[in-house]
Amino acid sequence: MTATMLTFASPPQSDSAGKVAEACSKKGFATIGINIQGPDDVIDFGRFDTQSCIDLANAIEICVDSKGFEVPSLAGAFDVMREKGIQITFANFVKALTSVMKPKVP
Amino acid sequence: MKRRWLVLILLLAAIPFTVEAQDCSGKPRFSINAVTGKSAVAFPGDVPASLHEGDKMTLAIGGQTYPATVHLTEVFGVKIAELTTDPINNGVSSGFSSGDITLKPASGNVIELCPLTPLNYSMHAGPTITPANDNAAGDPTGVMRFQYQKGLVRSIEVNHDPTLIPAMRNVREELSISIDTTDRQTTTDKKFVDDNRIAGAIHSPEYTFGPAMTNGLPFFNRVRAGIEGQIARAMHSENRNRDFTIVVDGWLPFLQSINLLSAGRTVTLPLAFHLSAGHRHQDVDGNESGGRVADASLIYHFYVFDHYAVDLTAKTLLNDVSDRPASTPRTQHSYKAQVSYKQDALSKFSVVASFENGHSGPVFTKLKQFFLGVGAQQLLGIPAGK
Repeated sequence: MTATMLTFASPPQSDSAGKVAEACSKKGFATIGINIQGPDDVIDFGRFDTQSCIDLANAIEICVDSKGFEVPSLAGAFDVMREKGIQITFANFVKALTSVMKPKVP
Repeated sequence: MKRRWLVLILLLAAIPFTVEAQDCSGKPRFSINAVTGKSAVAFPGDVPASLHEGDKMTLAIGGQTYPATVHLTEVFGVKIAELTTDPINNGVSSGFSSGDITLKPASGNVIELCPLTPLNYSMHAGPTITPANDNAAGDPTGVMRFQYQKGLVRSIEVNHDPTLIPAMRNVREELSISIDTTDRQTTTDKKFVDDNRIAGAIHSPEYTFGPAMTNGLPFFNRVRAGIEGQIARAMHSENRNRDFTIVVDGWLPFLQSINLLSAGRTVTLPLAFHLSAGHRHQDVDGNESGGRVADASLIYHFYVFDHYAVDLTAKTLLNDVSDRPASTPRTQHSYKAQVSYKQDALSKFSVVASFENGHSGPVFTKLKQFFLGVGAQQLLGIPAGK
């Protein structure tokens, strides 16, 4: 019981951030109509439009905020990825998102 | 005549102005986090040399300025500058036009930014009166050119659910007036500029709705409707035209991008649709014409053999305008398939073939032949390529 409470009181930050990043990335892609099935799915940003980049960014920003984290504004980065025709696996997308997430400052 | 202009201008000045969609290609993008309100600039290449970690700069949005502190970082391999500023007021910002966001370093060149986050603004240019250019082959003596623009872009929150993205919460209004005319000396000279327009548009929020498909996503994704209208009129003649259009677009996630004969799975936006229908009326030198115009298009992407992407576009155009040329059919169909190739899983696609025709049959036949060739190459062990 004590161990459980301690674990709860000080959760491993990176693991928690990783799970939030994965859930919020899936939710973000679902918001723009993309069904992610696994970590090896390759996301082709080159066929996105700018509005979809903005919507994806906003959906992820809102989701991570609701889980106690914050990220920089992502729309610009996604639109640059669209312009460059970037492709990224879902697993790497989640890693990249995790790396820029910070606990929200109250 | 001049008094008539002035009266008209004063009347029209009350009506605001329309913006063209931004093309941010090659430019630094400015965006604002949907929750925190913090802004960032994403650079398509390297960060400008005048920008350093911790720099104090000035972010200028229209007539408003914000002291900003720069934090340089990298997001998804893209270099960005996070800006720490006072909260950005996205009320209607006076004097703001589409290219009017800048970041001013303490020294060095001003960096112009391209806004991705929809920002509200009103714009007012003119009135300006200048001698008209005489390249119109008319007699320029004493001819003056008058230009005036006024516009307003505004997002209105109609759904206050904070869990929705801003595009699903806001209605967007755009209104504009543009006067560009010349005080011509003769009524027979048609070569001087006389282009005056009032335009407006209103777009609904995006809606995702409908029964959930087997993939768990609703049938309709981010469907948006809008009404767009424009009236153009020459001041020195009765020539005029009017266009009114209703537009609906969105995505249909039941048809996700598929991967044929592929080991991996590449995903992108699902089937997209765009519908527009409207009425056009023209009056040129007393000859009136008009009628219904409409178009519908579908866009779909799929992947083949792990290395190829195909972009399919089907478009139908209805032109029921009374004076259309005899060679222009009332209904036109066009089908296009564009094939792109990438060297390996994560490299960029490049276009290698494009097939276009007014009928779907020839396009699909060409596409089939192309991939039969690619399949034969693979069976024979010839490396995939162009």
